[in-house]
Amino acid sequence: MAAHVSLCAFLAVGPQQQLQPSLHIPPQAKQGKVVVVGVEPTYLGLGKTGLPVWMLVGFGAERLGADMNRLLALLFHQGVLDEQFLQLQQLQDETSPNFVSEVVTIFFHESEKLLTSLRSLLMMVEGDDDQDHEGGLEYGKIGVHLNQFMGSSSSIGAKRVRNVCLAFRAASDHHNRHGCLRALEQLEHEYCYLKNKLHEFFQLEQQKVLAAGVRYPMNHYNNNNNINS
Amino acid sequence: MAQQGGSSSSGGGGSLNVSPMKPLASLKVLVVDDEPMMRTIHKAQLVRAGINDVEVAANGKDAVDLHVNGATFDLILMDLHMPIMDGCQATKELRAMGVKSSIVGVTSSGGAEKTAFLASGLDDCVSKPFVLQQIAHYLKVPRSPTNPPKYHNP
Repeated sequence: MAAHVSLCAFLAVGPQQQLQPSLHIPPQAKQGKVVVVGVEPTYLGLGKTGLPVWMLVGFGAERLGADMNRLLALLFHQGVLDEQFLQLQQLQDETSPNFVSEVVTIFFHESEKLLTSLRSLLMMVEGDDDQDHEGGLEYGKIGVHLNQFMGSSSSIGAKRVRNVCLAFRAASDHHNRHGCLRALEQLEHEYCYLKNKLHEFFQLEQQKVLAAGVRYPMNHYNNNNNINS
Repeated sequence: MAQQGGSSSSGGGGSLNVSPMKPLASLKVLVVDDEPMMRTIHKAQLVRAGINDVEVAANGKDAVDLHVNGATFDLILMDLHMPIMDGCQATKELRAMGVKSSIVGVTSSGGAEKTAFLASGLDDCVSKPFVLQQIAHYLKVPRSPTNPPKYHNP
């Protein structure tokens, strides 16, 4: 959603902004309202040339970068991510330009297996019964899975996920099945939120790379499509 | 650690191989962790620090097998909980084989588990995720008879 709004915003012109004189500026845009011009309602809407309009305008990469920073700031403010995510970003360079998204993709894959295992193990535990030897074994396995989840979430800076894992492990150590079930639900919720937000972040990053990499001559566009009013 | 020119070793039960400081680019490090993500991150951290020769192993047995086949490393980063052979057992076996490399445990575990892990023959134990400064000692500080590794043969 943020990317769609930002795409629209490229074409919104406040009174202080200037567009190329060859572009038609709808009246609403001059009043500072957001106007979608020639852009289909998708992230990569195509203009008459078949190219995204924001590429023609040329503000794409900068605006997308700002959107990424805003999203990251929000996630830090919410405590979803911590500085470890920045450490991860520092490991990304020209030789490994997709390092963070690759690592996070592995994290998602492994986390979903862990969540499935945790739910299965909790279903096997009968109740809050310390005398139940098999239940004790399941709690032991739950503890191992949670240690793994804590390690991996810490390593990508997923602070809230890690904190829920801590609470989950505490419940598991006390063989508190109800506490574990509550913690599992919270863990699934936090994980889903994190996954959605990081997907959004990486989509913005991809779009920014595309925007920075493509330059379409304004003259060619004007000559071939006659958009001047 | 392999002996270098100018190094010395003492005989007897407390003998240790020592070596002068090696440039980072010539260091050889082994990352032992069952999680692909952790292996990826640890390797990237080490490469970013300037260490080009980084091998990985997915469990303790693979780490031991590397040494059985003649591999040597300046530093081994060892996870605790791994399938087939965990970090504790792998460290004990490596020390029993006479491996003198620095072995640093990397684990989210604490308390008694961490204490047992340390006692298996580690030089040190750090929490996940580690920062390079935590293991810098094992990468940069030259070994000498007055600055031996923490692990000693009894």
